[in-house]
Amino acid sequence: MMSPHNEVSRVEQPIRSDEGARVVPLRTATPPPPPLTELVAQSIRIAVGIATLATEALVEAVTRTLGPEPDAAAEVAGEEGPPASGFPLLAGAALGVTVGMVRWGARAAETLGRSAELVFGLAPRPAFVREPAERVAGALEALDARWVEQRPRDEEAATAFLHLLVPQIVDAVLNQVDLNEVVRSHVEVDRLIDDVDIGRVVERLDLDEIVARLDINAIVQRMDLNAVVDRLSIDEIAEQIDVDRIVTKVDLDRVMSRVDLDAVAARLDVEAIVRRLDLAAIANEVIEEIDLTAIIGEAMGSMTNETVGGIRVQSMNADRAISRLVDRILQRRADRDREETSGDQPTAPADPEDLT
Amino acid sequence: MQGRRAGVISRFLADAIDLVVVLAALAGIYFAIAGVRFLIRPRAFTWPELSALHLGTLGWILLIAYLMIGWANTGRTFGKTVLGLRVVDADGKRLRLRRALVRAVLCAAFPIGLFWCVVSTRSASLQDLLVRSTVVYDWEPRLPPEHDGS
Repeated sequence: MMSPHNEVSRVEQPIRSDEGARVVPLRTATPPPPPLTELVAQSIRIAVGIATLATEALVEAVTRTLGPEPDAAAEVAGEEGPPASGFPLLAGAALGVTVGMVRWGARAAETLGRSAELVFGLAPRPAFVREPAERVAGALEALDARWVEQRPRDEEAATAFLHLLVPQIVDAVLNQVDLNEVVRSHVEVDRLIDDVDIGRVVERLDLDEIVARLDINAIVQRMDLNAVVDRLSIDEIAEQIDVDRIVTKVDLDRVMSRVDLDAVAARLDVEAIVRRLDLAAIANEVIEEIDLTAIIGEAMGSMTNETVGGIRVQSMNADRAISRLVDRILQRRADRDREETSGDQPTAPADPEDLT
Repeated sequence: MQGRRAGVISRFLADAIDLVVVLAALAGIYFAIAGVRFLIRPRAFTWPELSALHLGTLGWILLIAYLMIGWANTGRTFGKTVLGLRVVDADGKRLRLRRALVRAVLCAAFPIGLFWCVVSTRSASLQDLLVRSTVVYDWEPRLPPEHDGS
């Protein structure tokens, strides 16, 4: 843990170096330098701010490593507590003391600077003062010249050093930071996307090259074609298809010449098909459809009619033959048939009542 | 030939068929009686013994009924249907029941009278002469006209 004195010394240390480093070039610069006191005060403020931020970040990091202490920050500094929960308090208290001391030191330095400036500005410069001052100035100029001379090399070395150091620091930082989480919590991705001109992006894409790179077979293998087919409305697709045009383009003769009908027939399990047929029901249905009785009756009727017709004709011929024979024997002149056709009918019938 | 008077051969064949029909019916009746007897007393079953007189009388009655019904209804019995004959009166109409009965009795009593049609100039049997009927070729299934009021 840092003590307030250490903090002060760490804070004031860069102030002095800053002061020295800035004073030397400013004296050689053409524009008038700002007042020394303002420089000192501004430098102290910056250093204090940086130290404060650094301390807060350090305290935050240490707190996180020790576990969450939500209410501890609200407690008054200086109170004793358990070591684990009291760390943030002590750190905050130390920070407060440091800030206070630094501000006090800054004010003191400012006052001192103003007094010295006033004293050095008003007082005549005697020889014992001027000589050392000139010597100091000469030494400073020599140092400055050496600095100017060595500056490129130093900067180059520093740059090289930074080139080596910065990537390692960045790596170390990135290892500690979840960039995804940072982006998710700090970046408004939707706004970024709104700003993106998709049209321009698409224009810059070489779609042909992208398509050429795609392994369509692999994509198709990974696709759930059944799900895709389920989502398709086959009826709508079928309505848009002009089947007639397709069929007119198909050379069915060529297709059929390629089909091995024997192989197709060999693959058919005709017995299985027959087993699945309810032949008895089909037969009954067929018999119901066919009026078998009518067919048999018609056939028998035609047979009977032919037979009966033959008997009738033959008996009729026999009748006529016997009639002629008898007529010839009895030497009748008139033919019976002619008698009948000439109207030689029986006379008027007797009254049926006579027979009763 | 439709409507002409039928000759002896056709009429004889028709009558022979009718006789066979009546004899078959007689046999059927006989076997029916025997079957009933068998059903009533199977163990003591004997074939029914009918005298020739009984059989003849039964057959004669059966023949008369058969002929009468056939002639009075359609003008033809089964035999005459086969041979395409029809019995009509002098007007070509169906016989009345009484005249059909007289003709049937005459035919059953004196069947030989059929052969008079051989020599008859109008192909009339004795029965035809007595009841003034005639037998014609008529293959059509339609019925002959009835007498008015009959």
